[in-house]
Amino acid sequence: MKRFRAIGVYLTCLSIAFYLAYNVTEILLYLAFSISCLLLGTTLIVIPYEEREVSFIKGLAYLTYDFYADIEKLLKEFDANGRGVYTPVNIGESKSVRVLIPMKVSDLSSASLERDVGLVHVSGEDVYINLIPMGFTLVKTFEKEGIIATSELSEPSVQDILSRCLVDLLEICRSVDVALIGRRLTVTLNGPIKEFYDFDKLYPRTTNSLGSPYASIIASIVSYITENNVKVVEEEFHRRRVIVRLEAV
Amino acid sequence: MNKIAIYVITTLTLFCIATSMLYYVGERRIDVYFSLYLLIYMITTEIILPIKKKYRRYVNVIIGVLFTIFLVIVARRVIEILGWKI
Repeated sequence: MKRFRAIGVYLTCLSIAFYLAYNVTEILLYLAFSISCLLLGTTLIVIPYEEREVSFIKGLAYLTYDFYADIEKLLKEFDANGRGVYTPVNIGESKSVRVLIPMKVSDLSSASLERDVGLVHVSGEDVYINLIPMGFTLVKTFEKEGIIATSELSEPSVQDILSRCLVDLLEICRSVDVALIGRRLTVTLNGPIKEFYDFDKLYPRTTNSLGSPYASIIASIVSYITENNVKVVEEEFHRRRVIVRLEAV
Repeated sequence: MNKIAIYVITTLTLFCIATSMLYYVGERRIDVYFSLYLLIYMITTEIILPIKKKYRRYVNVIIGVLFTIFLVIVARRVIEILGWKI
């Protein structure tokens, strides 16, 4: 939109220049060009045009708000407020990812799913809410298309896969930087889309358990490729970047 | 290329072709240029410009202003032909 407004302003300035040239030289052609540039220039400035892709992203963001609102309700109902663990799970012959939100748990590192179970997963004394995270279908699609595959937890492999998924395919940011210290993974999204910035204010419980949609997608992918339990530790939202800190538990 | 880029390029190209042709045939009346521009503008805007319905009135205002100018030009020509003096 801004690009076309800029073209509109440029054409209007060009129109003024042509008009001045006409006044100086009295050549009719300049006046004709002045009128044509003014017509198109004012149209581009005045008309609020929104590119289809931008409208679509906005629409999807609103749907994501609804998803978070539902999870918020669910977590309130179960009185769960703990940090969720993204865990790989085998479903038949294929692999998938689930997020386990602790309700009554002693040790998070032991959280695992042998197979996909119902909403409430009881493992010994531990009780979890078993949810499909945001990013689940993306991971499945990326797997089908051969974009992601299992690999070790290392900076280059995670950075490569996240760049392909988040930058090349989803275009939710301009670039991705990954830093790994011990079991802690820091993912920096440079130039992210800003539609998911306010989730922590609107849905604090869900954001605390799942992380923001950025974190949820990243954690799902990392959990899937490294076959580790992954927890979202912290998120920082800056003007031009989002920092997501994860921990392989 | 998205639709608005096609709209801008098409309209500008048609404006340039029309201007060149009219200048080539020796046309020196600016109202003829304006009339032809208006025609091109209305056609390309109606056919190509991807405008949402709720913003339609913005286009209508622009076209309304341009059409009023066109009517003034036509009225002046008619007055000229009839030989009336204002």
